[in-house]
Amino acid sequence: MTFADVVASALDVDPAHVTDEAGRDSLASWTSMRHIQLIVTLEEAYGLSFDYEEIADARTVRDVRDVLRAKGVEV
Amino acid sequence: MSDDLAAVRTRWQEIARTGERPVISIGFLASYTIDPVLPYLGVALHDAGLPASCHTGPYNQIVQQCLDDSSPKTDVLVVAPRFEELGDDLMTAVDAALSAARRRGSFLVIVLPAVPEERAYGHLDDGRAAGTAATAHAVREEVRALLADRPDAWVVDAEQAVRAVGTSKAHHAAMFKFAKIPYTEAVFHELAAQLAGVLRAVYGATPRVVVLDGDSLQGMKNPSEFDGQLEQIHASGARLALRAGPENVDALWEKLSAELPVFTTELVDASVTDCRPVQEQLAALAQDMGVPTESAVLLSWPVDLRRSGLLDRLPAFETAPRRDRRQVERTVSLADFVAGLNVEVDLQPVGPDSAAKVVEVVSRAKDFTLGTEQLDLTEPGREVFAVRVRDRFGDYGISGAVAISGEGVVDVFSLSCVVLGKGVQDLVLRQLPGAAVFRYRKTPHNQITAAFLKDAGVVVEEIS
Repeated sequence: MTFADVVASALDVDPAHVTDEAGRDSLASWTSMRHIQLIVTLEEAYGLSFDYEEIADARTVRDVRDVLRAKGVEV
Repeated sequence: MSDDLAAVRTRWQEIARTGERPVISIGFLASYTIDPVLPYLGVALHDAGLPASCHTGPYNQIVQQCLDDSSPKTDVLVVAPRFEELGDDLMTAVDAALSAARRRGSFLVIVLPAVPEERAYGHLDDGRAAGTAATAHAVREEVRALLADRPDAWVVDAEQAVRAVGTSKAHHAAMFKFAKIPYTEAVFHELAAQLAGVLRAVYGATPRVVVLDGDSLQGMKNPSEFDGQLEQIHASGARLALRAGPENVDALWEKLSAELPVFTTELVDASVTDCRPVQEQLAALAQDMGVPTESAVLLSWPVDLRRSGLLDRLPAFETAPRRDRRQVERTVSLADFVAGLNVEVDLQPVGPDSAAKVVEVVSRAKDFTLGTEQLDLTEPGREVFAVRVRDRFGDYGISGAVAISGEGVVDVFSLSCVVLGKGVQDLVLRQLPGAAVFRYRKTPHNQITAAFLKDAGVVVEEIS
């Protein structure tokens, strides 16, 4: 499963909509609860943990990608 | 396991898209964010033929919502309190839930709270009568005794769910800080399995006919053990039938009568001994005995009564034993309860120490907010106040913000959901200096706040 597939699955959107610019302001389905689902799905998929600031500050797909890269995940 | 959990959550999204008509409605009230349980429970009930609609109440407002009769009425009311949020008031929440469920005609499920991880006396806690563990266990047993064997209420156990997952994998500190979710997905999955088991017993097809598989009983060992199980089946009220192939039918009856003292031919209401496939025999027996096919359960040797579903029965209304218990009549009003929280609100101009927190609170406020998500603290001509809240449960710190211009225009009024349901908004209104008009631009999130302000009788102005 690709990064886009994981994000799309958690946010219930088409993977084509998972662009770096897409975020909580532009994707209607990226609600507070979906944000939580996104975080736990990423944690499960990549076997890592997000800390509070990483959860709170992730507002776009690019932010999420940056967090994963900082943790050594190639996405 | 994690792949399985993600797959369940995806299935729940797919099920939701089908617009399946629910057969039961479930309301959740918790002292924490319980939403993660919904996908797992929803899928389990869907697979059990019990599609459900689920509604979660606001965070940590169990008593308030139970006392408020305008809260949604649901077939099932699930109440999940934790010691960490409610402390000594946990039994108050349980009593309020019992009373609310009775008034609304809901089946009540209380989630017994897990014993807190943090212990007041550290390593010596377990040996102290006033320790966290002793107190928690006593309250848990009080709740269980209050509800045990009732036909209109049941308990499931968060402690059991935590133990099943393992303490080290049961909590997610960052997620609790971010969204007040105290448990991991694995714990919610376990909790959902317990809830689904109870609701299947209440609303699902209950086994009403037990069909003994005569062929398998030919090889029966330990007849005395099966004798006891037959007694249990008989006591459960289920009727007994027998199926077998056509061979050795006479020998089978002889064996059962000889080896099982409880077994008599009078005990068996119907029997089929022919060449038809087992499922056809079951359907025929069910029809003969006037029950749906799904209410007939086949019991083969070796017998596992727990798996048979025969034990998934709640006591009948007329036979359920009643325990002596405290009166749970509604003795306190919502206003009394809120007044008893001793809420204190403090408004202070935002300074360097509080600026970041105020911006964060405003950006995250979704349930009670009037103004912008992106608060600009440098905007000239207006003053921003940080709202600090505390009550008898503790100090919540900066929990909101209000901004007012020199002309008395208030365009930011946001409160964190953590402090809602305590009358904080009324106290802020009373303390806000010089507010002439509350101005807002309509968004999906500010209608509740606008309605509150209109009800409060202040001047409200919607701009386009």
